[in-house]
Amino acid sequence: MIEEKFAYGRSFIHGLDPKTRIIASIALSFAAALCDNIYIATGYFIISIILIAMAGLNPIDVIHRLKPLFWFLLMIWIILPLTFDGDIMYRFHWFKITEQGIILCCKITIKSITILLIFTALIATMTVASLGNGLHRLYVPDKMVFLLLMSYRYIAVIEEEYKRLLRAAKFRGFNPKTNLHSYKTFAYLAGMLFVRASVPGHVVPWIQSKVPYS
Amino acid sequence: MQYYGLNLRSGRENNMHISEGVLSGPVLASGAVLAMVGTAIGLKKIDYDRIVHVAILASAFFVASLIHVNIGPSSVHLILNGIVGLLLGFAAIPAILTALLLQSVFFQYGGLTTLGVNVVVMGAPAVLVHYLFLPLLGKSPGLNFTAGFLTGLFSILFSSLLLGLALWFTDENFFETSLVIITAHIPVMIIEGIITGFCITFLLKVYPEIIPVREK
Repeated sequence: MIEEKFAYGRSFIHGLDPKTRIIASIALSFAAALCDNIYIATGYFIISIILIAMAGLNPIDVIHRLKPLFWFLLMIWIILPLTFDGDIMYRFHWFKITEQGIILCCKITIKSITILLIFTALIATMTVASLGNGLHRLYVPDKMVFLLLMSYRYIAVIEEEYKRLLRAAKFRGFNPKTNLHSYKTFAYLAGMLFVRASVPGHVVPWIQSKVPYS
Repeated sequence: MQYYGLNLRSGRENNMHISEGVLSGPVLASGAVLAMVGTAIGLKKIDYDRIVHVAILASAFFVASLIHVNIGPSSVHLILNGIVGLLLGFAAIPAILTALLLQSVFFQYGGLTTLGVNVVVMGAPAVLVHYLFLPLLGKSPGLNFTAGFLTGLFSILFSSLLLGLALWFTDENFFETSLVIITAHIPVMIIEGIITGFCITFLLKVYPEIIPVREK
């Protein structure tokens, strides 16, 4: 279930006005993204850790949340030191590691973790409804705020529909593999989500009767 | 999260988001400005009668992008920005912005500073495929699948090219990284093409009104 895990709490950060948190998050994130000095970036990293502590978030949950970032950082650490031009630290035939590549990887790692921690501490600790309220008070166009709130409202409905379709597919013996049949089934699943999102409720059962899963 | 043997979310995320802390100030600023312009045009094209429809499609895009598809021993998740572009045109940009913001809030895919660049990376190809391939739909079943396949393939191709360009404009030393990213997305382009092809054929068969071409 898609849930707002950090949105509810009694910390100082949770009690702050959404508008203030959005402005602070934008200012701190851009300051961290644009700094080119590794020591200043480390300073922002310490600030982000303090913010996480002030929000009273579980460190294990926060690390788990950063998992998608770690895959990207792993790729950066594998490619950049080998391909970046600069002073060679280590060479073995064509294989070389450059000092500038390593420094850049350190900077990217610190900055990216810092920005995501700032986002987690300041934005992920409010409900989407509060976020919408904060954006509205920051003069974001009404249509955009309405779009955000309505999309959030319907995610649970569409996700429920997705689970129901998956259940139906499994009952018909669907076992996903790397083949055309599996891709076709996934395509029909995605298609049904778009249909479900577009038609009045009473038409859907009739459309579902046409979906060939097995 | 595992659900009946299918991944709803897994730790291995192969997505189209550029991470925080990589891009230079000018690239971030350009992405933010372009995303704002695109969003403004998109919002102008959505009237209040249609906004709920766009919101629900944004939700469907959000949930559909969590579907994982097997490729051999690994899996990739669908992106489907091509279908959203095909269905919504310019309105796809605010829809994609909404979905990306919600993905950041729920799963931490990207943060605030790269939101603009990520909207351009996913939204610009979505609008482009709308104008390129929508006129081909509804003429013959074979052409429907081909147009759908090309929609999926080119949306991911253009997105990965834009992603590579954003990195390259940041620093010329990112050229190899850009090439790796574009190459790594080739299987995703093909899978996305096949799935978009079948999906469009399915939509034209069961609910053709959803495709804007039928309204003309």
